[in-house]
Amino acid sequence: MKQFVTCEVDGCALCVPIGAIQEVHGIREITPVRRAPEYVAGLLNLRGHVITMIDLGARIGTERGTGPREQNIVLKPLEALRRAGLVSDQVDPELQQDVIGLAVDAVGDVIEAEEDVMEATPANLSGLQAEFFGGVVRLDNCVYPIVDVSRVIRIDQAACAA
Amino acid sequence: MDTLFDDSLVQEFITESREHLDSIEPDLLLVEEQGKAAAGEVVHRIFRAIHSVKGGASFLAYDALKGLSHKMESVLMLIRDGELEISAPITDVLLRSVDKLRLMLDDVTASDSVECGEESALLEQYMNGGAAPAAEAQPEAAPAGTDDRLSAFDWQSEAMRSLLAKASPVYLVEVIPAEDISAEERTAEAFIQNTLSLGTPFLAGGEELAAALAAGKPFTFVFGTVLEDDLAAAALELPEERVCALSAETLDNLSKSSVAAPVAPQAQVPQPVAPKAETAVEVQEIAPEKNVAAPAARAARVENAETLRVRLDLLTRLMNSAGELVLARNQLFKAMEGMNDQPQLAALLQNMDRVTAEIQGSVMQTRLQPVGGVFGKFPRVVRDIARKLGKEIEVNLSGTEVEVDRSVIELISDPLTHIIRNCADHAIETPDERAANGKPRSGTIEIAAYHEGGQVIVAVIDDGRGIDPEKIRKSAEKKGVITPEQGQRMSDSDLVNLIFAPGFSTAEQITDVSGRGVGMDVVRTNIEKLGGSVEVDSRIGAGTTVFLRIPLTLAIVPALLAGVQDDQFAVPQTSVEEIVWVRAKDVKSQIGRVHDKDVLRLRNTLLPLVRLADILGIERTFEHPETHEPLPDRRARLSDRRGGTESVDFERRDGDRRTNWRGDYRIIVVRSGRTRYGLVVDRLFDSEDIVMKPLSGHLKNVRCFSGATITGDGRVITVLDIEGVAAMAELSQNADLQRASEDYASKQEQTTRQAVVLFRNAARETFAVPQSALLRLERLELDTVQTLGSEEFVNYRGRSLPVVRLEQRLPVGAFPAHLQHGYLLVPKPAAGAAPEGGVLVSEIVDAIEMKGECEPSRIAGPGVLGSTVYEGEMVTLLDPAALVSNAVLN
Repeated sequence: MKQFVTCEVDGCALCVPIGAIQEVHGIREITPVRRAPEYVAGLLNLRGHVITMIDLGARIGTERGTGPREQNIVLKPLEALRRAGLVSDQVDPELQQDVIGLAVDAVGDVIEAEEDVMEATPANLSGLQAEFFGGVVRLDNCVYPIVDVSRVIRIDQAACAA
Repeated sequence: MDTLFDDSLVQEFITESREHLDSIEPDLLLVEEQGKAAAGEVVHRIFRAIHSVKGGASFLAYDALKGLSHKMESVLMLIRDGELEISAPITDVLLRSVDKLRLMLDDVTASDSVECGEESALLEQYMNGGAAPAAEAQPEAAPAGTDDRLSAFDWQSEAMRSLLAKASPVYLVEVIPAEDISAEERTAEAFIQNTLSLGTPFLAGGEELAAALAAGKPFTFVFGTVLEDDLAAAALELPEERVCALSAETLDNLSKSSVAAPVAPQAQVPQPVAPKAETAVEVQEIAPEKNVAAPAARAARVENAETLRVRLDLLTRLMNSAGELVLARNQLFKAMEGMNDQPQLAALLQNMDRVTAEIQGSVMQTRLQPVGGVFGKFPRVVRDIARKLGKEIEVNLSGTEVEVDRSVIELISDPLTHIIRNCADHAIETPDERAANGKPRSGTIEIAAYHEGGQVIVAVIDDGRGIDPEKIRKSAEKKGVITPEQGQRMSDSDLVNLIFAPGFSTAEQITDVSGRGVGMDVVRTNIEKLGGSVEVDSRIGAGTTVFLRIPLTLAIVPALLAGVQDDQFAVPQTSVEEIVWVRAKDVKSQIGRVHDKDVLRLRNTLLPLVRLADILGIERTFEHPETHEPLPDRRARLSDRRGGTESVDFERRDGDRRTNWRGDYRIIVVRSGRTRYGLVVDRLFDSEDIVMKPLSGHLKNVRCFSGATITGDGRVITVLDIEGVAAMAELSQNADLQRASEDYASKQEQTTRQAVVLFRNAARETFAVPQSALLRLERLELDTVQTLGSEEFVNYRGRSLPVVRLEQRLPVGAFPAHLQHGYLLVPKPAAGAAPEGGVLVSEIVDAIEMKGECEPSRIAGPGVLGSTVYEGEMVTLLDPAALVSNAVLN
């Protein structure tokens, strides 16, 4: 039995492994960083720590709606993610010190799913970039693609160089 | 074996052993320098240190570590007991053994696989034959010299093995390029070709023959050939004594990595290039006092080392928390603003403020380390270079107790090493050259650290040959670093500082020590990266001084907060030179355009302007003067100030100058290294101490920011990277701009302008005094003016100062009777004297720059310099000192 937190971004329902999440915050002031890659939403002050927020929608390729993201999912520090086996050891060395968050539109419930309900990522994830997902969870006739934290926090070299 | 022991035990052993090794190195040099005089206590200390290393190693069963340290211990015991006299070769072996031990400690589990056979063999040689060389000191020199030179080669390497297998006989050949090549009038190429046609040369470190020749320094190589003993020297066209055959026995021993057997008798090798025995004696003669003081200081350092070892990451965390505490305090202060009805709360807040400052200070201090830690390795570095090049160099350290943050120490270590290597390699001449120039044979490198203006200065001072600005100019022109016109105009000091320009290296020859064409520019880049600067000062023949200016800490920096629209940014205060506020009416006269770039006329320079909004991709706006709503700014350039109705609004001399009126420009004049420009922003806020936080890896390519911080009100803001912004604006490539700026500067010199203060006494009469003639300008309430007879006085800094009314001295309108206050101009008195009096005037109009020439004035009187016209008004220029001094005389 594994636990996931469901969330929504630009109308897509997704879920994130609960073990990757440190905390969730409602709307907060995010300082945009000029000239940053498009998928970086900005910087957030979390009790004196500067968190780099990634716009989950921009990252996975959803069609951006209007209005700001209302929820911020702050992920655990990299070391904790690695211990939990949620990121591989080959994560970019530049990220060692970073704490990263995901900006989303809404956060839903904690869902529980048996291992066997997890399936391989279907090829047609309705326009989303399949590389960012590590399977799906089916629950009550709903399908929640599982966000692969390891992929989402990786530095997009092409976007950075632009 | 690792499983047998607690990891922490091993860790402890490594840390302690490293410290011991660090202490051994300077001690060994000290012993070598002083010979017998130092022995005793210092040798004991080395012995104890190496003994501890051995003890730990044998307990933890690190055999290689134990073996090598045991041999070192044995040799040291012989020295301690007087059975072996310390000499440069012995020190060499011991130092190299220390290096090997360090290598083993770097990866202690693999320590047994570190190759140390050579060192062991040499140590054994001293252990066994220890007594013999000490008894007859004279013949020791030659074999020791050969050993020393033979040990420079890697006898185990593939190339050497194959050479030894094929060739017979094998010679050790010494080449002194100055004598053998240049003086014989043959080319290096010819020599190389000849040598290669006769056999196979093998150089220490596998170096190329050509490279060694190009360096111009004496060197030796192993030469495998078929030529017989007496033919080899002739064929190589070298003097016979430079070519000596290595006996089969010697070679056999060497290739088995044991040099135990004495070198064959025919190896009559000339004296090593730098007879170290002599050096030691000379050093002692030159500076006996210094040497006496040194051991005491070093001993004290060892004894005072009773400290607690704390993990660095813990300290870092502590410092981050302290930084956050500072931020929290700032936020609390902001939140408390306007809550004055709670006196007890204010007291609490004050207390918290004090404690916070104290904690911050102490935590910073825990991370401070004496720069001596970095300096300590330089005597060794210099010694090795000096021995290699046959130079005599003394190293003096001072200010080793000056403390800077650990992170700063780490960052200055490499640049400093580079400078010192350069110094030993290029700056200090050979003993003969020095003697010929009437200098002491031994050169000196002084490394000094001291505090200056909240920063630390590290100076590297040598008494070498100095840098020739003329040579630099030629070389820089050839390499295209500067144009010939620029070269003509540059001062000697500017020329010398070109050594830090990218792509510039003064080394005419490349040596393996330094001077590979990259170097000083990397030094500058690295020092500037940490917010410091580097400068060089040199006199030909007398020496060179390199100054590094470094911050005490990187963690908390004062910064100026500036805004563009709703975005706020921090600019590190260290790169801010000044702030210029160009008002709308002055835009036309002060901001111009040169080759598509906006420039600011600042005094007599043209400063390139960079609009931060453009760099950051923010739409430029201006604020409506009344509604304060932002409107898009459609001007293509700053100098396009639209005339028309808006300019009528500008009648606002008494108004709030802080209002963001659309024509005003706030310019932060910033400098990073040699890049200087004006940064145009919308708003300026306070200065604040900020805690720099690194940016995420996702933002590494965003060149305009160097970090982020959290402000007093809890917002995250980014910190501007001044150099990065300049690069994005492509400032440095703009040669046109530079030329224009220079032309402008030379023109400005012809028409001198001066800064003056414009003021009035009676309405409609405008006067000016040069700013340079004023000491102070103060508002004066008239009821504080006291009278004595017809004289008036004010209390000025504890003494009474005579007040002169302008109308008393000059035929001008009187001070308006209805005014309750005026301004007191206090002229600058003669050097050292107290002010003689002040001039009372009614209104200060402005501080401006105007042209210096003026016509004779229509009024006459003391202190009248002349009259000129400024913006259609007649202005009478006065000398305030003459006004008051005359008054006092009367």
